[in-house]
Amino acid sequence: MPNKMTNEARIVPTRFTQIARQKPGMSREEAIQAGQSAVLEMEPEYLDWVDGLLRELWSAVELACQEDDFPNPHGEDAYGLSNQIRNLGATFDYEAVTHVADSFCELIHRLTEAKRNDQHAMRTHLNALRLVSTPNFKRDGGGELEPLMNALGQLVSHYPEPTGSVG
Amino acid sequence: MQGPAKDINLQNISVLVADPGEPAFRITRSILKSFGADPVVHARNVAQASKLIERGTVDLLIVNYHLDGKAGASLVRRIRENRRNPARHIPILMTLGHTTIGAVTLSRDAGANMVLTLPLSPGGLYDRLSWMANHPRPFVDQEKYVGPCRRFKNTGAPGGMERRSMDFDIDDDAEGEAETATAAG
Repeated sequence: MPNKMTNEARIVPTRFTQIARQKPGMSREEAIQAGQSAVLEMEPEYLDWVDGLLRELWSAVELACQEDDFPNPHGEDAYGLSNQIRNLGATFDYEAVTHVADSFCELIHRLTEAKRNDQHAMRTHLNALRLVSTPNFKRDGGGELEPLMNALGQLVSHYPEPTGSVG
Repeated sequence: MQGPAKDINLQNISVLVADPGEPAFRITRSILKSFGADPVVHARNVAQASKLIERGTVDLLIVNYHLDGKAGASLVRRIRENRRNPARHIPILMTLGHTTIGAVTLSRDAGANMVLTLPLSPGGLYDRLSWMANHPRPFVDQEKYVGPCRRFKNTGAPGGMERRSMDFDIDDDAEGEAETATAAG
């Protein structure tokens, strides 16, 4: 018979909850405004980061495309790099970067599950990502994002959405 | 819906950000510092994160699901299950980038308090931290699961605001935790 004392759930006080519930020095609005100012200050660095990540991604894609087998380590690198770019874009109002990089991740994920290599689809995604990383595509991309995403979506949809794998 | 997120005090909260990317860490640190959190330290992989966590000086862990490939969830599980770890009860926010099948469930079942879909926004991060601070959940310690009780109702985005289109919360009707959780309330 299980020990009821050890199985009983209880709220465990943590330093985080104790401090966070104390009277704050600034309101939510002030804190968020301070956070937005901090993000704004980092925008010049964002452009350098994406530039560097795109260079690494280009190398990874080229190496992945040279391999007959898929998945391969270069494809995994390309997924990780694309995911990093994805996770940066919208923070700096480059929503298009996040959408295109997400599509690239999904493509590599499906290729991995299907054990297929598709150089054309990968290079097309890379070129699209380079395009939307330019300041012209900041915010809504001037109406050009939707047709671009539709075209990329068609490339991705050649491969079935994985249903059996987890994570 | 729970109404607007409450103001929280993050002064001198110690945060560990476990993320494979330097830019992602620097953005997170910058936002957290503007909220008052300090120090905000970086772990690039599971090994570094484990070492820093075991020191027992971290108040909050923000961990990327894609740490070391997809090992973010297993790091959380190890922290929760290690009874000798002084930090096993700390609040954990799991961040998710490109989302694949089961990532949210895996994060929840590993013992994360909340999941936040990237990219980060100051409002989205603040509101989740506020939710975690103001809605502590009973800690379940069972053979099959260790972590915050997974049985709670999804009442929408914390604070009803700052929700991205790809965002979601952990919600569940986890079997087997109802009795113990309600007993401790």
